[in-house]
Amino acid sequence: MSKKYDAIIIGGGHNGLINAAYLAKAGKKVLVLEKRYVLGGAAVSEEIHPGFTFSVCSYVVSLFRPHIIRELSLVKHGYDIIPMDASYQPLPDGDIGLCKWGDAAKTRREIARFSKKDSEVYGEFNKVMTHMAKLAKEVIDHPAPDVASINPKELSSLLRMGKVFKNLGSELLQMNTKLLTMSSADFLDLWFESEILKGPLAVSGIIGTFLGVRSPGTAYVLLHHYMGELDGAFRSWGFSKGGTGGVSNACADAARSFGAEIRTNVSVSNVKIVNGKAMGVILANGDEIDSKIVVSNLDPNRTYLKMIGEDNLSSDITKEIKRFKMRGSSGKVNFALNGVPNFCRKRKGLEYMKGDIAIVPNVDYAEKAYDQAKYGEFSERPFINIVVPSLIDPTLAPPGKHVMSCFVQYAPFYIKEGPEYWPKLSDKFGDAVQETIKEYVPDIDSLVEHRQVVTPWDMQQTFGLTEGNIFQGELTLEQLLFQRPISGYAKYKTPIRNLWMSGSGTHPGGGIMGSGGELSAKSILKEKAI
Amino acid sequence: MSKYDIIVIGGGHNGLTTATILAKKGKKVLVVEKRNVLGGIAAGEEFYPGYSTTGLLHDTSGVRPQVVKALQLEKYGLVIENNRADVTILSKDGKSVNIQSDVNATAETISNFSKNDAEAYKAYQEFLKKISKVINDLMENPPPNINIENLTMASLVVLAKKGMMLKGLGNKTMMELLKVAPMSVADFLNEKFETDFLKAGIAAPAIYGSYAGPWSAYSTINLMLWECASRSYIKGGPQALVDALLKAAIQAGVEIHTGAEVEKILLDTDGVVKGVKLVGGEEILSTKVAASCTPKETFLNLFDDFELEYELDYWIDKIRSRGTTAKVNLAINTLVQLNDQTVEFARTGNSFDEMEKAFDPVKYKEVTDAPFLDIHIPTYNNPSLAPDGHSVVSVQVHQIPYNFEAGWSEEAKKKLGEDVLKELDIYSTGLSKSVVGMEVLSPADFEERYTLTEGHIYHGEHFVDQLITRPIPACSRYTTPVSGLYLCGSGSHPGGGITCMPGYLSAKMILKNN
Repeated sequence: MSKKYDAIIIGGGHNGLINAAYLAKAGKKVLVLEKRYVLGGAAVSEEIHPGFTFSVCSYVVSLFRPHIIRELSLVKHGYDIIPMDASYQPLPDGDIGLCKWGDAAKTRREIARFSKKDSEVYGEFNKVMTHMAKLAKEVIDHPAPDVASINPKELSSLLRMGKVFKNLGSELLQMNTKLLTMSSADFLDLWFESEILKGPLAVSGIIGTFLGVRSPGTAYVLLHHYMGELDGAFRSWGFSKGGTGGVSNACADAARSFGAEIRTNVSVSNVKIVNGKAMGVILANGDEIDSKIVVSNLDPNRTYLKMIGEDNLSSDITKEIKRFKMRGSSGKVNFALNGVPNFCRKRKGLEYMKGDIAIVPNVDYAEKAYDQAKYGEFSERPFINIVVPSLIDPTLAPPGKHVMSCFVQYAPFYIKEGPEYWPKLSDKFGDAVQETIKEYVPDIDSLVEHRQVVTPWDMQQTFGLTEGNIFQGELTLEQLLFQRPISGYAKYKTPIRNLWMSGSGTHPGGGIMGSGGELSAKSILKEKAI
Repeated sequence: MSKYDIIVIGGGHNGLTTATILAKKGKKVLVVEKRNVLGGIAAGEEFYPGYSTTGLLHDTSGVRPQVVKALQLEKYGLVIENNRADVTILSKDGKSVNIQSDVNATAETISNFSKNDAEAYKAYQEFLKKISKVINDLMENPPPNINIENLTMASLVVLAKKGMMLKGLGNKTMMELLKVAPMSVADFLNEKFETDFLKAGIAAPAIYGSYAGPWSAYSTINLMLWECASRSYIKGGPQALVDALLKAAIQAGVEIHTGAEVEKILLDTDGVVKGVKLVGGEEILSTKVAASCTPKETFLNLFDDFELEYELDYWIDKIRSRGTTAKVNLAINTLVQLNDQTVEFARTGNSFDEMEKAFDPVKYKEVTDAPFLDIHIPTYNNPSLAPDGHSVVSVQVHQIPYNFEAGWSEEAKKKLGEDVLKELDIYSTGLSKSVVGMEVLSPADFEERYTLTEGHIYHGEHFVDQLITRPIPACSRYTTPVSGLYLCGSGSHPGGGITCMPGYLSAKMILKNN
């Protein structure tokens, strides 16, 4: 009997939708099942307060791979990104902070206000980082080579990586070794002296990890964020029109145009496994849907331990997947405001606020926030990355009103009282964020119409991100490349035949890149799995 | 014509090793030592009348048997055993575990409070045994020549051999090694053990001398290196090693000048080494100089500004050598017991969180009130270091920063001494009342007394990017971009601690090149 579906994709996040689009484009019959009422997973827009559209979780777009946009004609399906032209670092006492602009000369002049030396080094720094980001791009655009293999194909892919390294030259190679291993604070100390410049640069190394800016290994993540690429232009981040959900909607639209079927409000209980082979899925209501292959877009923990189940795994694999570190460390607080939150009244105009605003006045501030989290508390004075997208995209809020989206670190999933205690801390956490912002925007309290607090517990319960990890697993060296999620199964496959993976928990990792979905689909097609 | 084939700067254990090996090959060697005693941080000192330590550092477990053999140190009175000494891990609630070289015996002790940990300990040792060959191979040979721009067939063969070696581990062990190496030692041990103080004690060597806490990534590498490569015991500690080295050096014809501080390394007009100039003006000629002092001291202080290539200065300046160790030497008028046991070596730490909290202030240039200790009681095996019935307690204190905002004043040192005594009183009630003399050495004192840049006991942090290509890629095989200048100290591969390996490998490289 021929099955109705070639592939069922569990989870309608952006990677799942991209995976579906690629498979459907190749002529496969594809079904996407999403548990929530809305598509997008963590890349979602929702009207939480009447008239206000929040990018509830993920809030900026940068790493999205341009060739995916082309191959899936996403622009035709509504993919629209407004580039951010500024990045502002306010100072607490209302003093004029540091604004980095798209215009390099303008940025250097800003930096020179704090350190002439830094303004001179900044250009060289960008050059070196761009160079190394290119190398990293080579890595994310291909499935991870398997170092344990002596298969000639694997060797040639290792050699290709080696060649990129070789082309760096010894000077950059030396820098690259440091970048891969050092802490982001130490790495930046190699270059700069002014705290206001180092602070926000350093924190890009810790986003989504349970590490501090002084933790070794964070400099690499700094690069990961530095790779931000929009339509082929480096180092540009942007807002999706209509909120981050816009990206997911475009992917969904593309998938449908190729013939994929997408259903929301359908909860999958587990993968149907017969004789070690995936045969389809079993829904929460007991229904079964058969398919030739199943692609899980869920994180590795859920995929292995819930969708497959320990009964179907060897104890070795179970052990390996359990040691895959999730431990979310961040939260989101979204505000509906009845006016503009002005982060520096001394600055003329609001241009400086049309990008992101980073609250991290110095490196020690960020590290102290981490110190508190290490011992199971949320940071009283956290690092906050703020955007007010309604300044650029007025459709997000009623006229004259604004949405303010705050990414907050640290909010460790494992708090002292245990993760289940988070709902009781939710308000206090929101207050800490609002109090911190008040040091920069004194009238913030009177502006707030509504506040939505998303704790790591909420991310797990609502969005299915185990332990609230926004990247479906920490981006640390031992969890990257051929070890993401576990060695031996880093190429989108699982120990269960016909069950594949496509989420951020696979190579090359988190962020709105789409690579997991794309590379997974291409591997499936290449192997003629369907 | 110069009188010497080579001048070795610094008469520490590495400098003496290099000098002796070269002299044994018929080279005319001069060692110049700034201090009036030889041995550097391996030299024992009388810190209070009638009480002596056996060295600033006290761990000799890393001394390599092949160096002992090559220098015939046993002929000169050295007694080396191929098992490292027992270390007692102390818990604040009075429990303790004796880590012995006999794995089963150790597991037996551990099983008194955790069956799981006893099994885990055996598995852990099993894993170490598997990777030990790879690690020791790394520690015993010059670092592979990884000049990627100019790959030669010879270096490819060496690389391939290393690769095979890694493969020889078998896939499972290799993947496990790759998985755990970048992890924090806390994550790594939490996966295996359940007892807090045991985990803390096992982890401690991974962060000795590191600008790191147990939660810092990559600390597992340091644990593997220490566990696999530290397998000896030298009777009499570092001072006994220095005594034997000195006898071997003199026998081999090495000339040694103490109280001879080098002010500058001299270059000729082509930028080639031509000798050294001492403080006081004396110039000693030689076309080769081997420096066992820190790389930063060598390049940044022993040359004039702008005398070296900018690029070399740049990378040397970027070496991280933030000292995090202090020393407290105690003269005690009684025999010491810790958690009711007489021991030679002991460690405290109690839990990862407590150790991490000792590190937290370092980041803000502050000093913890509750440091963790690496304790050595040399009088346990060598009562002659103190009057009859008395003891010497030598304590390495972690993590105590060189960069201390308030400065290392006498009061600050006194406070540190008191904090250490407070800590020791937990394990030995009333110990502080038996103290008759005490010496506190801050990292700043290390720098002052031993010319250790930033007080770093290893001449530079043992961190991934500063291992193997140590101290920097351009100087990683004991040669330097300065023609005629070699490095032979802890700043070179395989790094710090008392191993004599950098000195040994450097001498071999010097011989090979000439």
